[in-house]
Amino acid sequence: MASVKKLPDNLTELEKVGMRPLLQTSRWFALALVGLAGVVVWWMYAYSVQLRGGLAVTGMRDVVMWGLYIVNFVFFIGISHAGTLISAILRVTGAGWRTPITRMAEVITVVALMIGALMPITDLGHPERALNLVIFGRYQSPILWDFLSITTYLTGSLIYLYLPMIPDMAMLRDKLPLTAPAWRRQLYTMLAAGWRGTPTQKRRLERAISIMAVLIIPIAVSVHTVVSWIFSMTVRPGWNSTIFGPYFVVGAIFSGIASILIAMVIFRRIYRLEAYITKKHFVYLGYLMLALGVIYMYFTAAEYLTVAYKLADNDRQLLTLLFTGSQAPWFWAFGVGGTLVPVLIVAYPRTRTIPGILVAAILVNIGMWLKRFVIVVPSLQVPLMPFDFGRYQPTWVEWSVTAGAFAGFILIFALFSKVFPIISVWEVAEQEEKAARTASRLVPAPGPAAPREGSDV
Amino acid sequence: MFRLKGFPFAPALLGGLALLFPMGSVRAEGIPAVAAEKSFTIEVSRNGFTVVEGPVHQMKGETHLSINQGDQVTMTLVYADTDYGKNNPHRIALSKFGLDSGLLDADNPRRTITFVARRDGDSFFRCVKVCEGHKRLQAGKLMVQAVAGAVAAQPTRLALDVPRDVERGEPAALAAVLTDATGRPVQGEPVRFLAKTNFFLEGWMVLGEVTTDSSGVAVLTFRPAQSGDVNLMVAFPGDSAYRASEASAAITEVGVSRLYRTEGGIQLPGTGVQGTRFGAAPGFRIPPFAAIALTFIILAIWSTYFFVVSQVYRISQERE
Repeated sequence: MASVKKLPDNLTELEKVGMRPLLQTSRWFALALVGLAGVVVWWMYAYSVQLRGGLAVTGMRDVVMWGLYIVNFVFFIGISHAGTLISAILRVTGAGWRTPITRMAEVITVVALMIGALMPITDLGHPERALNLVIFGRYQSPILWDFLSITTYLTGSLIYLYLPMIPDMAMLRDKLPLTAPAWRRQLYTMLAAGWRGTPTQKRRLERAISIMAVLIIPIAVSVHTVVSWIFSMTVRPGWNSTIFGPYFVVGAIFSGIASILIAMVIFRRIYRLEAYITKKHFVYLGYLMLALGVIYMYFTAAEYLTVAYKLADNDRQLLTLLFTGSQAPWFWAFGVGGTLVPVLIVAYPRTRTIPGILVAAILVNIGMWLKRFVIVVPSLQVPLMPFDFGRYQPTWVEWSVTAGAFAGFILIFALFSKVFPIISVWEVAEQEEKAARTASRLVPAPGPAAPREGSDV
Repeated sequence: MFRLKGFPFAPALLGGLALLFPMGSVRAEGIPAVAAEKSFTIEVSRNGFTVVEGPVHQMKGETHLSINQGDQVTMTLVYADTDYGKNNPHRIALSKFGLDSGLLDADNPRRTITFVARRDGDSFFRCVKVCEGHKRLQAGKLMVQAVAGAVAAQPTRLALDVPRDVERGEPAALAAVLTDATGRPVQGEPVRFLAKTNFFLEGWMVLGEVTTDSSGVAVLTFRPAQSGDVNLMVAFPGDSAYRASEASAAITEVGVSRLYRTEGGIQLPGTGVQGTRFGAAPGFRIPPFAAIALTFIILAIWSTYFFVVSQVYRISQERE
């Protein structure tokens, strides 16, 4: 049954929009959460099977020793770039339209990093082997760089997520209905950090956010660059590449934007955010996705054309596998369905609608997951010694872990939205105020109220 | 009992967790505290086993003896080939319990095996000596019904035998011997080998697990790769029949050189990587200053984090 609590009367419309999801939960939403929790439980069961039976229960063997877990790892680290791009870059460049979607983007970053970081640990078989990275780690190894950059990025992202939440926490602390549970009040009071909105506090917060916005961009770039180096510092066909760093970063931002677009559609619909997340936001982000898609196609062409032109023996085997062999369906599904078609959907004005952009975003995410599969598995299948091609068939355990990882990602995201406002209320209010001031300067004579920024649809 | 207010889905989540981590339950009703005594007298001849005393089930030519876990069992074996005309010696073994009747023949016409059925499950008693009717003497089955809490596990003793000096990087055989309270070897039990490691926190690292053979011996080949002496431990986790036990020992590494050496970079604890054993190919090495630069960058980033968090602290300390 849906829980309905009355919102206090002293709230502005924007505050009501931010607070309503925290206090009211529809039956369907609750059911969806239970379903997601069920998949997560199944994930843990599958993982317990792997813990008992070892990696033999997966399809990974001595030749193809990486599979879905590493594919998921690269994918989740990739979409974690959503937060960086939307929030940090747009903040640094002063793009005011970003404010209603920054928090979603930042949460995607944190949750994707947490889920993504679990994947290599799952891939180890025994999780305690992760400790060997610390015990026997060497700074010359990209694995150690990865460990350092991901932990640094996760910490930075958590700080960067928290900082803009402080004024909203204070709002919740002060305006939460008396009927709200005590734990919520205690949580918001603690996280509000004594915020009262004094000029000094504002100055300190602005400074902290600005520093983090600048700092988080190179860290985010380093993360996916280093992830790519795990592959490209290996002499293997398909991985032995000099452009893998920027190639991976562009791909990460591409799929990150697609993820935030999907999240925007869902939360806009569920939490009735149509007045704040408008078509303008979808189109602007769609343009960004389009640009990144074109750049990604350029990198893909550069990568495969140079390899195909030289055609070393191992590379020939890999390209045969990808272009016409057993992996061709995945490769072309990525190339056409996951890159070209979404770019065309967004480029063509008649399909550049919210449903059209949503379809493009979903295609991009499916395509980019397939791309990570195409990077990881076929390269390992190519024999480096005169043996037969390696084989890889993911087992139900790997598919269950994969499904659970995605369900866990959505579940944590959804739970976050039930505890904290999913839009940055104070930043949107500030932006509206700024827009109103600008409008009043532009229109000296009295007239109709200035339209809210982004409400042009 | 706690309640997550405002979360209508909390019971379902908790229910899911309960499914994942089910609470164990123990049935104690009707279990005898003291084990019962069961006696069997079995004639052994070239025609097979014939039970002349004690409960028995004959199934498809097999002789099934049914007892409960924890029972004190006395199995008297009687030589019944006296009409054969010549001596036809047998030797009856209960391999699961590591028991053996000894030679059963015209000179030793009566043998008794006494034991406590500590382990549940099915096992066989059979003739292990080639004799007339050998095939028919393979069909004895002892079925031990599990009774929770009915039997106290038997104490065990574990000994660890290690070489005194080990060349660093060279294989060394670690031998563990598992015996029961009477000194008899315990066969088919897992023994875990561990080495003490120390990094931030001290702990035992699992080297491997080996099953004991018929002499109760488990051997693991260990190649010490850490510098300094190594403290080792073997542990038997125990089961329903045997109690856990452990033993420890230390080995001293001899040899003057490090197993690994770093050719590039600076010497940092735990970063030695260049495997001399496998002779890594010479090639590009990251110059020493890279480590310093990397350390500087990481420190700078984390110092900035610290500064930002300190701003939050100062916000919380702000007074109007």
